[in-house]
Amino acid sequence: MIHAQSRFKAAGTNARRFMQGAAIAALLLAPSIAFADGNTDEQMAQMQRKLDEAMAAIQALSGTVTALQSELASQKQHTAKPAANTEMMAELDERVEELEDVVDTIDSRVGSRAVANAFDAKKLDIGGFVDIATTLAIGEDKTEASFNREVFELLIKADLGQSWDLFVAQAFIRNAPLVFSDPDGRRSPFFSNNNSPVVTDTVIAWAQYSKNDMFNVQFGRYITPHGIINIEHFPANLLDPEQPQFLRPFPAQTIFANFTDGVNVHGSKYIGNNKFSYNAYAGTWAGNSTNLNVGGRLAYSFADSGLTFGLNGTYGDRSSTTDASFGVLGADVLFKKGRWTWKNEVYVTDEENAPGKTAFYTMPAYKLNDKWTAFYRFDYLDTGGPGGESIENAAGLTVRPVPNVHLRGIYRWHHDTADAGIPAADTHVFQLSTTFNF
Amino acid sequence: MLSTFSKLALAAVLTGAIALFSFSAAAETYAVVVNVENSFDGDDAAKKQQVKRLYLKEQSAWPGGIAAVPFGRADGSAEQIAFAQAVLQMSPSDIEGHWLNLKQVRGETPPRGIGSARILSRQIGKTPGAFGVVLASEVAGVENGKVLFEFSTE
Repeated sequence: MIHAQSRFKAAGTNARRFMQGAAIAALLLAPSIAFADGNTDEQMAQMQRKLDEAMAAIQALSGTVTALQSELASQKQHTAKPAANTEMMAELDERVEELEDVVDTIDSRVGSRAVANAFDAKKLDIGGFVDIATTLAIGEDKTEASFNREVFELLIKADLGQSWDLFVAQAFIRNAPLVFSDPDGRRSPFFSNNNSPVVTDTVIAWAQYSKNDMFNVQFGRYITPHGIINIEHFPANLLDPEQPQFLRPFPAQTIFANFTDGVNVHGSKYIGNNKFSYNAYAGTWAGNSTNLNVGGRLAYSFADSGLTFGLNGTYGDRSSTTDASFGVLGADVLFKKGRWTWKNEVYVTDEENAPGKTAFYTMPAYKLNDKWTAFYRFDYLDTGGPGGESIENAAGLTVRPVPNVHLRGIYRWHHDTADAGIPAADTHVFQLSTTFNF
Repeated sequence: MLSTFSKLALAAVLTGAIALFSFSAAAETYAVVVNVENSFDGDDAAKKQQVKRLYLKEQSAWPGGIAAVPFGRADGSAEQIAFAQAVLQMSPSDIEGHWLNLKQVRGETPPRGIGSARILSRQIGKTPGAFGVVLASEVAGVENGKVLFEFSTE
């Protein structure tokens, strides 16, 4: 730019000098020509022409110089901050590209479709899962196979604002149960599970007020906060979608109820690296609406060791028609570190007008890689009643080919001990199941 | 003249040096940025631990009481991968498992992932409890924000 300016300046100077020279030459030449030999009209005319030409050249050059000076001034004005302008343009280009990317992403998600809005919620999340199982059971009585379980469950979470939110899980279940001849269902691998062909159940429906991490109150129907697996609860989370025996039949109250309708106060607090959490609840159960059951859980997690210890207790009445008060004490230990996850729970009950119950399981699992996990579970239940003890040994391999798909292959050996004149029974169960969550 | 062994040794040393240089050159520094009003302080380990808990929604507020608003980066972006490795210290499957569990039990969803550093910077600048990860070289563009801590990938 400096070079161009110099060039313009030099051109202007030269033109000015040329004009001055031409003017002087014209003035000097004019009289000498005027007084030359002949003084003829022809000479005078020639001189006049030359003078005119010189004046025209002067005017032309003057115009050129003016134009050059104007152009130079204009260039100076436009090139005042060239570097800053280039940088700004590049940044604006980059921002426009970013915005185009964002718009493109939104457009690919919405396009010309309608956008769903929540009526009143500030934020609404909808998801769910489909869980399917096919089972082959080789029992004492017979061998049966079936696509025995299809569950579609809808999960909805709404942020109501002002520290309030709401969570609903609505299940649509279709069962095609394997039928065994044992009238007590004792030889069934599903332990008298809820085998109604079609079940529609509001599994969870709570509203929650959150003061802070330490104090939250749930109202409605919630998962009874005991142990490890009942809290994890959903098949998408579980390595074995058949929950331990003490949580079957589903839903029921073999040891404690899977779900409670009432109030659940819960919270957690970090103490250094460790975490303390609690639950305290009161509520009623389906089929026992007139008795208030109370319970709670305390848990402490040691971050460095990966260990969590939990204590569980509940007290209430199992029936609204007979005297059947009960108390449950339980403990659970979770070890989760690196590739290992090891879950353990034990419960004992004290029952009015019935023998006490005992339940225990231990379930180590090892992550083979990011997708494959192998597990084993030893599961013991003694309901105290006729029929003895039930023992299960389950081993399985699960894979998540993509995060939203969980495939499992599980072998389970279910053994009932002989008791009260009822012979021992064994069932070998092979189950393939998959859970798709969205 | 160099012997064959010497040539091989020299080649190995040069190759190693180039590889080392390339490796060093690939390392990138990132910064976890918070709103300027955020007064949380501590050593880097405490800061990382706190950010991890808040990002994973195990806690909902900063120790000062400000409601936490965590932001992630686009899935598969260098920033998000580095954050998962260095701050969360979790494998992708562990992270997926964590969100799956929270979704099913509490209806929680992962923090919003923002692709553009500028848009993230704006969010952090206007929300007191917000935080997110950016390249250290992009920190200057975060108005009304400050660096909580920096970390490097290897």
